[in-house]
Amino acid sequence: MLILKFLAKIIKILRSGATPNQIAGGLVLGMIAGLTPLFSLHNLIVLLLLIILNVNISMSLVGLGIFSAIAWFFDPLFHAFGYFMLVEVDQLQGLWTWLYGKPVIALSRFNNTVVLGSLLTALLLIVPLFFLFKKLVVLYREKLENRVQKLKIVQLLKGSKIYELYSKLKLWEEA
Amino acid sequence: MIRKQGILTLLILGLLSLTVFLLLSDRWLEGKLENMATVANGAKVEIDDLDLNLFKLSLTWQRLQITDKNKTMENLLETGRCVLNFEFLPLLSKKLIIEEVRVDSIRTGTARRSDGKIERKLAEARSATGETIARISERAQDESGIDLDKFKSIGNVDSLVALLKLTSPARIDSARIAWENKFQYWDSTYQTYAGGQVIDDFSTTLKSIDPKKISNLDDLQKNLKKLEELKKQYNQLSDDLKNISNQASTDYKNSTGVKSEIQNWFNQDLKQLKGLAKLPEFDTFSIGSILFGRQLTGQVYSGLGYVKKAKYFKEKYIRSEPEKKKPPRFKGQDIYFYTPHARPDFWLKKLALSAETPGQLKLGGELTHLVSDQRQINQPTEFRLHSESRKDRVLDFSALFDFRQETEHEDFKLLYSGFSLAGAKLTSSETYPQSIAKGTGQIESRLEIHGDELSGNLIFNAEQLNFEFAEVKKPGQIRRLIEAALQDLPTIRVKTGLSGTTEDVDFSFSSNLDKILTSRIKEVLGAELTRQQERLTAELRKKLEPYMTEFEGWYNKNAAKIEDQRRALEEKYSSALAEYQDKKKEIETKINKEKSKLEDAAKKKIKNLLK
Repeated sequence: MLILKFLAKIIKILRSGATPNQIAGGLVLGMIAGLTPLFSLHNLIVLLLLIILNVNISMSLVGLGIFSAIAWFFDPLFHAFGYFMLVEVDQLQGLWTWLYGKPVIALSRFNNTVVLGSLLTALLLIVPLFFLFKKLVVLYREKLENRVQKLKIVQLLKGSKIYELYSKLKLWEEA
Repeated sequence: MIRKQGILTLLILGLLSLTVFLLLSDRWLEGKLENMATVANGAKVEIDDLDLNLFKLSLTWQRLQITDKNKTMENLLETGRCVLNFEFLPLLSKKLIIEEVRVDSIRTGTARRSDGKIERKLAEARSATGETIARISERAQDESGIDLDKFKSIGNVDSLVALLKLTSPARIDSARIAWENKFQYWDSTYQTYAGGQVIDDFSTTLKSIDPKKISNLDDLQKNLKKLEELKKQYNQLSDDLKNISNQASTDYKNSTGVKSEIQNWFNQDLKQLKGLAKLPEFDTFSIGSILFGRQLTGQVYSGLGYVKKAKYFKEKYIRSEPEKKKPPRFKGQDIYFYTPHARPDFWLKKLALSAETPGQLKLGGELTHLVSDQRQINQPTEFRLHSESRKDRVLDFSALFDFRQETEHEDFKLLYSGFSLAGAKLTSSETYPQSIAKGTGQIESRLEIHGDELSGNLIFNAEQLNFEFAEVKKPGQIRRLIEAALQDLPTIRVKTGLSGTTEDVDFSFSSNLDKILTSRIKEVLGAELTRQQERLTAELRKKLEPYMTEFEGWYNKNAAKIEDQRRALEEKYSSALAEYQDKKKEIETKINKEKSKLEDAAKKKIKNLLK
């Protein structure tokens, strides 16, 4: 049931007046926060961007949820990737040592294998995922929207509480 | 693209966060520090009224309680007010630099209002520490548990041997299987040895060369060269043979090792049998180990526990390449990057403390250079603690932790004298004292640790002792003997030698009473004890002898067979070599003869030409 509501929420966002750029931007910022450990300095920057930039906040929450689940599965890989970058790439040792002593940067926990591994993965995914999400939104709106709206389950979920909540959030975003 | 309301929201959020931080930071930090310290200590650590002042850059608390994890209604340590000042700028680089901390009114063993026990989620694995203490305790229990006064002659030895579950036969059987594999290996190694064919070929080639049948100088020289080429290949075989022979020597030829192994198994069975017969056995009667072994071992391990904690920074920071760990999900592994002249991540320059023990002994001390990476400040961490009052009681402790080199070095010295031993529990035996009613003690100890290797000693002197024995109607002879010996000597001096590693310490105990008691007890139990021991040994030998003899015979036969194969191969090699030497000499002689013939002929021809 929860998954259905979640899907309904995504469908509703896709139908909203938000532009594909805003939706993709929100998803990508949510992806960064979701893939990486939440309480990290870089996520403060993500939060600032989320508030300042006109991106879809609801979609970033969706992104956060989806990518947090993905991160759980990929955590060992992030650790291995982070360890490789921090320890095994000799050419980068100088950079890490220099950053380690720098004020503020040292607070970012970049020297943690999972933080670095997941952050680098997220940064590498920003551009391809942004364009992919944007394209998917356009494709959905052009070809799938009408068919999806006619589905009974969608009609049913439209009257749920989550939709009401979303509507309020949307009004706040548009204000 | 920019959301104007977002900036406003951001400002409000920022102000809210700052307010929340100022209001709750003390409680948050207090909770965080308490949790971390509780986990490290294994029992509750509580901080009262912590105040973090970011404007004054100071941290203050009114009271700190560290629960004694072995007695959770007591504090291991309790402090009064403490103030520490730290630097601001390093905080931005995740560094904590503390100039000086002064902690007063440290007290130990204070009562707690609530239980400081914490629930442990995981059962603690049985540590080497626990095992060693248990082992020493068991040994002491063994020695103190056998009631020497109730020692009687053994009745039927046969029935005792029948009761015993002998381990030697099974061990001999498994050894036989292991040795069978080894012998098969060597048998097939010698039989299928490729070098044997090389020796045969070498020998055949040598035989095919007959210098008598060669008259041409060129052919002789060619054959000599051929021989020398073959010899080069043959030399390589020599190294190969030597290697095999060496391996074999360390493997099957060490029959004395096998014999002593069998004897060990026999001795273990004999020990069990003696235990079953409740027959006391002591070469040296270690009264020191029986009475004080457990306490002294416990103290050493408790000290080593603190040493391990002191190594926290060493483990975290000072290693050439961090070992890859498998951290819990989302936790990751922090990698430390060493910069030679940078300020360390943590540095407590000086901690001055004053304390008082439950026995009103006033102490003063200081800790200097507690630092995350000593290499960055090039200073070791030092700790000194000394008594400041009461001349009859002295405590002097110093510790040095030097982690600047690849192999860490720690050095500890302790002198603690004049402390009361009254009430100390010793044993639960009827033969030995159960507790000390009165007495004072002195501990003098030196411990050095290089890497994981540990060495040192601990001398424990107990003076003006008054022991408490269990009340029995009619004390036995040994009990009276021990009572008398303990009364005669005003001082018990127990010397404990320490060696091994920090994980598994070997303790050796000796005391000034051991010799006296050993000889006196032997006198009392005397000949009867020896006779009974001999009876048991003979009976066990009768039972195990067939296994042992059969195995030894089988072993010697197989070892001899392999040895013969080895010798045959080596002889074959040597005889081919001798044949080579002879043949070479023969060819060289013939070459020389042929050369001189040719020279003579040439001289003749020249003479004829000049005529």
